Amino acid sequence: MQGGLRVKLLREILLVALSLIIISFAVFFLSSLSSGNISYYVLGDNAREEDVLKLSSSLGYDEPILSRYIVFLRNFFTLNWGRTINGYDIRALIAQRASVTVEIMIITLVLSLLVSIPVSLFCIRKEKGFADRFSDALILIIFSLPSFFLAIILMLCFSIYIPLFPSSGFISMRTSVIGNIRTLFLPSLSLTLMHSALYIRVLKRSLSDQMHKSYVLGSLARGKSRKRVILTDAFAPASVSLIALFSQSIASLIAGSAVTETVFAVPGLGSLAVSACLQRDVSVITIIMMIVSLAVALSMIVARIIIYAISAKGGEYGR
Amino acid sequence: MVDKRKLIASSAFFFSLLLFFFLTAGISEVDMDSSLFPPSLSHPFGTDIYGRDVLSRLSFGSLISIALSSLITVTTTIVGLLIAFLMDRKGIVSSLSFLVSNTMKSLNPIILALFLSSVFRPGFMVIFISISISHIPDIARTAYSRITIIKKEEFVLYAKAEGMGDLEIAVRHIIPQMRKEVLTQSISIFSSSILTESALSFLGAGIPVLLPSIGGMLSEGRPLLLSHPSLVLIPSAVLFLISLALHLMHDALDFDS
Repeated sequence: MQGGLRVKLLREILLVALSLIIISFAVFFLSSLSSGNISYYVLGDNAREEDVLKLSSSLGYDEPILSRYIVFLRNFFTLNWGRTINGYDIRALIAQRASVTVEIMIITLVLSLLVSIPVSLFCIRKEKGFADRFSDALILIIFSLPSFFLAIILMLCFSIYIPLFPSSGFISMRTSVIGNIRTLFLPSLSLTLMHSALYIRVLKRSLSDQMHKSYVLGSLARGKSRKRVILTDAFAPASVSLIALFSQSIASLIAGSAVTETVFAVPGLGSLAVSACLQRDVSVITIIMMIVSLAVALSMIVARIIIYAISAKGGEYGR
Repeated sequence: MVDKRKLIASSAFFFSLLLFFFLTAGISEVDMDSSLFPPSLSHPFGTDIYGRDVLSRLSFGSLISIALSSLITVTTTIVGLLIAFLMDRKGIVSSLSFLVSNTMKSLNPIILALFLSSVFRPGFMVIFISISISHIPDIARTAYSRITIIKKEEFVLYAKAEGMGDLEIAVRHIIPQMRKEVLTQSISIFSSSILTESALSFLGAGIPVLLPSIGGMLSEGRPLLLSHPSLVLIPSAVLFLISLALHLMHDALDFDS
């Protein structure tokens, strides 16, 4: 049993690593397809043929594809990322943008857990009761709301009609901690609403599954109150389903907050990807694509290790 | 279990929305003289900043979005089922299809679309590819977990013993048995691709600007949010209704299981 689990874990990690190689190769290949355009972009549309060839070879485009791929990977891992079309250093730009996105991500994840766990526990006290049904309806509405609409509503409510928070922009943590939190609160809140809706739905479902299992029925029969059984027996196994979800959230928050960041004009990784796309700045978006894939792969591996650790510890949690 | 009443009600809701879009869709020319008209009989939702009728553009945009998303959903479902059956094979084919599915799973549709549209040109193809790729694994996983259960059932074993081919067993016995799970997943892919497509159009990497799209209308209306909130609120409400109808359908199929 133990050995089988370990083999399965290793197999899954291998799978993630291999898929990372495939993605990086595809990203490299596709971005090199547009290399010709870059030469024309630098030299202008009516550049002479030999100038284009010279620039292409100075950028290393006439070498065999595999050696260029290795150079690409080496440059990526040694943080030798080059410059944007406008001449900024990509490494400095991404470091600055990523810190904002990571901050939003941490606030969102913490808030989502703080919201979703008590709410699900409260709703499951009485299945099909008022709180349960009400939260189901609310979750349905939040799921159906387009993300920018949620962002715009929050902005209208809390920064224009009731001016509690700034509607856009960003103040760095070094300048003012309170200003920093105030600028990031609304974007994080709108992401929190979406993520916690998903968390509550999943957690409620797995809690209610656990509540019908025989060991819970046994505890109830022995006279434990429903409230205590939820906390002591059902919650720990049900929370396993949150771990896989958590890693998915990290994956989607690293990049998927592009819309929210754009609406609130927060300088994060997502809004950088959007502006790079509109400027056709392939070198920036290639690096972002690589970083996001790497981060997603890492979070998947970590989630699998945690799930492995839990299922190795207690057999009944794993299922 | 399927909640039949809820399913009928939500389908009726969705198809009446579709009918409404069909009846009101139209092409509206730029007419700067009628810029930003309030709602009236000839323009029930008013006109936008270029003087185009909001209702006809909105309906046309919704139809484009629904058509594109249906195409994405159908493709995703077929390819996902194919991968699921390949996963169930033995040896290298199985490992490779797990690898393909895992690779697709770790791609985020929005970032992928932004990447592809800066390498190629933004447009339908980019939206189609990036949304499909990120959803194929969902179908594949769902179908695969059903296949592993169904293939141990007696009627499948019996068909195999009678000498029925793998393809025929798949089509005649396995696919009908997982109809409900796959359909549920397809509907959730449908609604998520409508939302993703409108997000991409909102960001400027989606449907070409010349065609109407809900996302495009939202990004045009956003600077006018305070003076003309209806330009943002009406398209958002329509998007919400489409997505709500699909979510209700999904929940009706996936009732308490």
